[in-house]
Amino acid sequence: MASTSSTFSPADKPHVAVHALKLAYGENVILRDLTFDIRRNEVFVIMGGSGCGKSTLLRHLIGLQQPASGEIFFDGAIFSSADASERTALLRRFGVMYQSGALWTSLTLAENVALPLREYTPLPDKDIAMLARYKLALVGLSGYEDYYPSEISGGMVKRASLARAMALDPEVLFLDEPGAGLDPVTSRLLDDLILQLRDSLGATVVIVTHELASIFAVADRALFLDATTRTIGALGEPNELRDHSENPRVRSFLNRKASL
Amino acid sequence: MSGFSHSISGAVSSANEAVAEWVSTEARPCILRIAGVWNIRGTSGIPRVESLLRKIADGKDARIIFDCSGLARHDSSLAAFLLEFHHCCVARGAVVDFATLPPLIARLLALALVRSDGRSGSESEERARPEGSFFQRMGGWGISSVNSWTKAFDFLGQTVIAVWNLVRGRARTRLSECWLFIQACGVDALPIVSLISFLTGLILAYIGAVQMKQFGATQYVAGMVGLAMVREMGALMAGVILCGRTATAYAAQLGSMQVSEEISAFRVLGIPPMEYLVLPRIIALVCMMPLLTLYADLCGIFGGLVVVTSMDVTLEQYYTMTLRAINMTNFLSGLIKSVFFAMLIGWAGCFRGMVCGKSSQAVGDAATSAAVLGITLLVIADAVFAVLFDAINFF
Repeated sequence: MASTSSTFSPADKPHVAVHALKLAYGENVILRDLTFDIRRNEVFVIMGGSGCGKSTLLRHLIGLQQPASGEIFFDGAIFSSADASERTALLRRFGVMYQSGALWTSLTLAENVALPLREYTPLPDKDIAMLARYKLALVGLSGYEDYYPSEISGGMVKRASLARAMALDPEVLFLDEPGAGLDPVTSRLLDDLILQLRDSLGATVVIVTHELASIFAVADRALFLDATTRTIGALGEPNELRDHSENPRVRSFLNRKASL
Repeated sequence: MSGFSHSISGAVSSANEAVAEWVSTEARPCILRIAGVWNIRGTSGIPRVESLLRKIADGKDARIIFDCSGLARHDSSLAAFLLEFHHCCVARGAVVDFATLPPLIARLLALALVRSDGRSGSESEERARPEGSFFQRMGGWGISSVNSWTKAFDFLGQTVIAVWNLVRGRARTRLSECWLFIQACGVDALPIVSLISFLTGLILAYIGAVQMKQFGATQYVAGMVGLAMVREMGALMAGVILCGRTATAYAAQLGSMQVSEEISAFRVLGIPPMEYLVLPRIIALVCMMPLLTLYADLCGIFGGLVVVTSMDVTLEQYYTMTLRAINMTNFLSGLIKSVFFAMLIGWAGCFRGMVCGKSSQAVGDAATSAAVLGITLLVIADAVFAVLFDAINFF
């Protein structure tokens, strides 16, 4: 499975590399000794039980929080300790879909998608509107350009948020709990959409989730964060981990067993 | 930047711009040549769909295929262009053959078209914002203002019912909540109330002194400041401050609770938000407002004192002149007013918060209109009291 992920890669250099990362809020260490690579064009899932620090790790990966120690490399360039201008340049190559959508409520869907384009591309308004329409069409929201986020359903908010995350053709898409709060069918459709977009856009996708169905459906590789040891529990292909992981907590998580 | 070379974006070379041009419009099928670098970060822009289509004005039943041999790099700008192109061609009755595109783009376009749920892009144009003619707008304005009055009276009724339930001892409210609000609207407001009312007294004293000096009656300024503060300015200034501080805070708190559905959660639990959320806030204001008014009176009188004692009036004179000017009735009239002001301010804040819409913008609007409504009601009520007290000879 993972071997297919290198088709777009010019080299086998990892797209995102995390080295000896330690995450802490003050004295309170959330996660430590995190070292892993995210390969180009793969769907990489960060999973784990509630409170294991999944979302905290994501917040560090997208630069909202500074690690206590350790480094994050993005495409070979150091990201975690880059200066402000380098950081902004790197951040522009990311797209983030937040857990609750985080659409700007005072803007319509088209305006939400258009805002990053307006800020970071030299395109005239007409082209921006055209691109916004296209991005919304990709997530199945054409015809809803002039709706406000408060006027559409939760699943549509998620999809609109995905469209906004894709606005600048990001190289890496970070998705925080894409299936949370969606019915199984919608969640499944969103998973399919993510895979289709990954294949056709050539982007690397990093997903934070604890939904098993979604993990098995989309993940090329999955990283299990262990709430007990506060570090990586396992890393590998989900089916492999479920059946053969040496860590019993990983197996019970993926088999949905309430042991331990 | 770093050694970054990725197919979907990258450095722009100005020589390569996005190209979309007709190879032939006469022959069937029409061939559209797509070439160059398509980049959303490029400065050359994206070719215009309209100008291309103008060239096949007789495009009925035309079949359009693509020649992509000269295509270098591309990102979503190409797919967006082609989607737009497709919509326009379909509207003109032309057929676009995506099979002649590179498979990657064809797949993206198929995705965009399949997921359109049968709604076309042009449909959204019909969902225009309400504008229309002058009369339509006037009508819309009329309807919405009637609606907001209805809402206001509805809320007033609910408040009265909630208060009645409280009086009967049947209200589901936690009066312990009041202490927090009492601190927020009372104690925490002391510094700003001190400053504003001290300066009000000071200003009044200066205005009075200018006139009184001409008669050599500067000591009468004491009485004037005292009377003005106690009857009018103390309650009014405290009221204005609480409008700005507390009414807006109430509106923002309740408004954001409305946005995050916290108020619905109360409602579903069978806890009336009017009793649980609104009453403690209004009660806290009603408790603290008279005290703040009293405090504002004293600060104002002190402000007058500072001015007048610098103009050959002794402390003792100021004291006796103030006592001679004001009596218990004056004090009472100020305090009675302050209680009503408190109700109005609390009500305005809570009302605006409870009818808040569901966006962050709406919370801001709620806070703004709470302050505006509060101050308006305050001044109107003050005028009504002035007439009323005169009618019943209450001074």
